[in-house]
Amino acid sequence: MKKISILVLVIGMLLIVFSGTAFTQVVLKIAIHTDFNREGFDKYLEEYTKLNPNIEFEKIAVPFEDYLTKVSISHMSGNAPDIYHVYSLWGVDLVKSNVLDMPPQDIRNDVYENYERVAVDGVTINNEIWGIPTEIDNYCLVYNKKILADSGFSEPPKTWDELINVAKECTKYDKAGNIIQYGFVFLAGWESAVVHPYLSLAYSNGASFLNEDKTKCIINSPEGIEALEAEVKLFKERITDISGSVWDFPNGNIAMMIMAPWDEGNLKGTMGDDYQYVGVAPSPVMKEPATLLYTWFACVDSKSKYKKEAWDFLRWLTGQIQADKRTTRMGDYLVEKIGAIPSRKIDIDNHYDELFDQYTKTFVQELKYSIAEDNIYNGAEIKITLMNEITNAWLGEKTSKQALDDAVKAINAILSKD
Amino acid sequence: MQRYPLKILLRKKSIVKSKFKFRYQKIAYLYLLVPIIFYLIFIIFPIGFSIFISFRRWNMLEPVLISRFVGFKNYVDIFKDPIFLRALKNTTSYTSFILLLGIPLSIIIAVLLSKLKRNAFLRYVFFVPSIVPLISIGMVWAFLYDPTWGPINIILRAFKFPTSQWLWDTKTAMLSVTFVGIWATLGINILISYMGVKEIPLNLYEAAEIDGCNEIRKFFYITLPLLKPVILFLMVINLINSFQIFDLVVGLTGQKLAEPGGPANSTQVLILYMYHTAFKYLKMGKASAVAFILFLLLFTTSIIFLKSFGKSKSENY
Repeated sequence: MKKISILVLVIGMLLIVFSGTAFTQVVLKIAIHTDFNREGFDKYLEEYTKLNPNIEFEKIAVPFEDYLTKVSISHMSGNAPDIYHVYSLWGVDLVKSNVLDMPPQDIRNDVYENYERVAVDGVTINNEIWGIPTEIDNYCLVYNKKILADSGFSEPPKTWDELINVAKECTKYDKAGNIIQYGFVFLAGWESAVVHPYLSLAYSNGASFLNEDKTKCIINSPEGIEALEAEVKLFKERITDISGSVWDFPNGNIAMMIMAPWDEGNLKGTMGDDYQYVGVAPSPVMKEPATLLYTWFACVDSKSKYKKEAWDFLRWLTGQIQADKRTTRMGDYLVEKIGAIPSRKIDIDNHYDELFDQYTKTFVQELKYSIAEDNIYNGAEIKITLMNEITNAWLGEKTSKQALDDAVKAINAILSKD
Repeated sequence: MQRYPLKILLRKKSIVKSKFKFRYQKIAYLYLLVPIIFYLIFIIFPIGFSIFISFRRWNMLEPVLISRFVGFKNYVDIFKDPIFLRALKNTTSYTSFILLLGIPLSIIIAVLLSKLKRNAFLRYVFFVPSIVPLISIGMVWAFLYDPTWGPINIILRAFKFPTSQWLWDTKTAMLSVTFVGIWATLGINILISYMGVKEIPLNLYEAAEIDGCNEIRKFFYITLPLLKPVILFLMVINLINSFQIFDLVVGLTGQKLAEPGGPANSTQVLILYMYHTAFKYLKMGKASAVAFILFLLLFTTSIIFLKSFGKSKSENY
């Protein structure tokens, strides 16, 4: 009896062991930031699992401001996600620290041949493509047609000098001299918010942020200083102040702002019928049309146990053209759920109706003037340094020249460290 | 039954006693082993590791052992950084206001409360902010301070008083944060002071009254000296908490302003600087150096307080 029990036990254990090896469940951990985690994303994960029953997903949604921290800590702890969706500026730090896996050659070829040039630039680090671009974001002038019309303007400004004049007419004050209706407000709240519109204006004035080989910051050129002084003028003439916020635009007391395409959903959702008064125009130029563009890209962790499965999933999500719509699933998700511009050419071509709507059309048209953000090591620290100096100039703590000279000194010290 | 001489009996008794004492101590050490191991793993090791990485350039993305040793460079870089110096100045000024204004105010209010027969409701009112998380207090006050929509400016405008940009003006931002800090910590400081005041025997005040002392003299010659241990406790606790201010600043400035610590770093504080250095710039070595400098500052200041105020240990009533 005892021998039979032992035999049954051994057979049972063998069955358990071999049944496990016959069907290995792969759990792919995918980390995205919360603004990217909209309704509909899970649908793609479920669809892929139906096609590949041995693959499951664990989705980790992290607020944007905590995303890089999450990547760092989870990589350090050995518990890193398999798939990331990262902001292109973080790419250099991640590549330099061997966090990212080099994409397979077919994916790199596909990105090079089938994506917008600026998007390819965004994922190129040290002349290599390190991920699959997803959304691309540039900047345009978003304005309230009703406020402009009430102030006597039927068209938005085309140049920065025109913007200052229009903003002056649209700004209203209370008896104590406080601004109650802003002619213009600046985007603020994080480093990109302050730096991107400034760099767009500086590029429009013919300035460059870095030299050719990206070893020195040269934004304190006369053109760069002129561009910052153009922004500062709005503060000096009390057309705007730092307490004005773009998030108040739906309240109907802001005439103009420089904004990215991803705000469409927010404006539609909060403005209701007043959304009809939202207009989008190219960013006012100083010398020539230009705007800054930044990218997000999907990539795989270098220490992932399931690199092949991760890249296969990303191939399916971003590269497989759906026969009926002639778009990719990622393209559908970006356009329909996020309100962002996809970076694959076929998605831009075949989402015509959604992309060429009241809001996004101008952003797409301005892609030809968009300049990709420079991918540099310590990019976050460099941008925060520039943001601090821009804010110092806005607030009159420093002149534009002093602010940019100090920014360049600090940034060059950061660039020369590694 | 064997009989022993007294000497041997006493010696046996002391042997038994020390054997028992040794066994008792062994058991005590065994019980202490768990918290000691816990302390070593979760307190001593992280402190040691933090000091270790403060001498290295490490970004958390690569193994720490392959990070570059840079000696004291992180410490030198910190003191060359104008934002660190701003953070140090802001934190010191915030702490000074808490210690020099917040604590005296709480003592005065505690003494006044002790004079009232029915003071439970008032004690409650003062104490409530102390149980609300500072981050929540910060977020609410950010709205109150809003220059356009905030009730403070609306009320000031209604009474034709001058308004301010509060958190949105570099000149008033840190003062606005400090005011909220004092308000938020008043409750707990009042409660502790009140308990201290209640411990003072009433007969001392009666004797003083008989001798013709007025209230002011009673306060300075009876209440304050006997509150010294309480004051010392409040100063050390508030010093430590104030130097580590973080959540209040994030709550007040982290929403609409350009980065918590803004505008233009006018509300930058040490812990926020350390947090940005570690998790935004990925410079764990430099952040650890900031942590160690903060530790030295707090340790030195606490020792100075204890030495200055602790001298009067023997003073009692």
